[in-house]
Amino acid sequence: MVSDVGDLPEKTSIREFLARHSSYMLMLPPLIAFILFMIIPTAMVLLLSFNAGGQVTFDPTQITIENYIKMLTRQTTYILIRDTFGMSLLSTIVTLIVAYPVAYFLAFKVESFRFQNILLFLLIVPYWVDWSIRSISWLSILGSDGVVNYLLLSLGWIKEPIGELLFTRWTLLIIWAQTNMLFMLFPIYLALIKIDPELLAVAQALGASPSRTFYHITFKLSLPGVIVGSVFVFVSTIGDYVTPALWAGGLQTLGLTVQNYAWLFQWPVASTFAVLMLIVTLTILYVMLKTVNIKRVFYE
Amino acid sequence: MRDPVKTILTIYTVIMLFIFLLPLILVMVLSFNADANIAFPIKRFSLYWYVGEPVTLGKGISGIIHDPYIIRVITNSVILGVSTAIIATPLVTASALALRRRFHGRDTFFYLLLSGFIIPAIISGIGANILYKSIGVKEYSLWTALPFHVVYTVPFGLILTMARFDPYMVEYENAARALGAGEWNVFKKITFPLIRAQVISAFFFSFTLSLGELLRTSFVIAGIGSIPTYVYNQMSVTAPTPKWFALGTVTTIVSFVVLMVIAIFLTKEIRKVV
Repeated sequence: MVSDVGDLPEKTSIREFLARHSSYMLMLPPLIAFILFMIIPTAMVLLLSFNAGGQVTFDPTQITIENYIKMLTRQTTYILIRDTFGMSLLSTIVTLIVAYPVAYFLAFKVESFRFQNILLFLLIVPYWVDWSIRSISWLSILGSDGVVNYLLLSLGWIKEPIGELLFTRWTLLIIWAQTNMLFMLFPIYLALIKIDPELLAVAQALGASPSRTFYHITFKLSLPGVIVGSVFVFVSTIGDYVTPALWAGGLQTLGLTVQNYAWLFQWPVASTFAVLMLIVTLTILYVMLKTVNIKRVFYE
Repeated sequence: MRDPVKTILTIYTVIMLFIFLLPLILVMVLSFNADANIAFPIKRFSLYWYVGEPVTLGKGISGIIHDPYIIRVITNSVILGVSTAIIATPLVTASALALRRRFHGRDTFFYLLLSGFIIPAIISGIGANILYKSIGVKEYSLWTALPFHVVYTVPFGLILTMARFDPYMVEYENAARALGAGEWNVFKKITFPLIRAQVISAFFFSFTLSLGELLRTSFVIAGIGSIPTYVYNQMSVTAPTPKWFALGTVTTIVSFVVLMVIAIFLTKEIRKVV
């Protein structure tokens, strides 16, 4: 009999009420924070893009789509879109290829849980060196007085330092891969450690080759992690307007354009480019997220 | 038994880890360069960029401990990082616990939280600026940047926390409730001990992310601001010197110490509660 659960004293009704609605009460503070500091600012960018000139706050009497017409009739806008999203997608793929084997190694080939944690800790430490200082350190790595040139020179492979290691699109890809490695690696690792080892054993017992087992079980089950990591990396490279300006040798991106217009106090134009960026980003994310149900990774 | 896959992956991981840590290693090594450039290799080691006296001749710039700006910037960053983590961690915990149950609007809520990183940095950056202008905030400070640090770090903490939830947590809680435990007791005795590790890692992560945050808040932070904004502004003024690397090394050590102290404190406090 399970009746004793039902025979609880009267006050359970309050408790039940609390329990039933606890989700709403728990979500209230984060909800308010995100509406105030995430949704409203974004909405304001959207509104301001329908004003013109040197406006700093939205004026509902001056609505115009002038900025959009100017932006969309300019040839350079389409080059900006291609370069910005092309580089970000490329960077996402590079980071994925670099990070996946490391995540796999961590999850399956390091038996000791303690050692796994030490390795994960090592992955977080470089983030304590401040972002902009880490960025400068690439000068000491890839610059003409840098480590790479020093090694190549002392090995006798080159006669004089290579200057082209810096300020190219490749530089940007390398730096982005380093910056975003953790954000790719961590979700993949989290997805991999959730895989039931018995599944792999069963597949092998049934005669599947290691590569088939890997593809059909390990890789497919880690896909949510791959997607979450890719979304992280993709979005953080899209929004990054500093690294391309410093290291990509004159590559123009949408982020830089937004920043430049903001610095010129052309906030409405800056907002227009920001809206364009947001629309393209959300479209690409929608496609990425459609391939896998990421909610299921967390709560279903 | 030999595992060739393991050998290859070990070598690969070691190489990748080395490349990944290379910026950190170089920052630490080159901060001891006696010269005023950041070239490799170092010819002469010195502590000049840490403790050098301000002199008008010679290098003309003092080491970081004699530079009042640097000291303030480090303090600012730590204050901002810890405040962000203190606010973000309860928000992460509350959201993660709320999302365990099925309720109307759960998906919307989840995506709303994810917007913290789904909306590209530059957009929330200018959005923050426009928001403050619209409500008439003219003076920027650390505290104007704080809310934007919080909404940026929450989704990362959330994912970190939820991915490692105990699948039977709700059942344990219900068992406690059925035995007559009040909601607060359920949280204190069952839920919290089960999520303690995740809460601490969310705290660490928020602090670390806040420390490096430049892109979202460079439009709404005051003059000196935190370390990234300070260095970023300096970059356009001066050539890089090992002083910045000394600053990077100190930040790493300070972060480590701050997080360890907090971890020890939290573990103690939690023991007291539970």
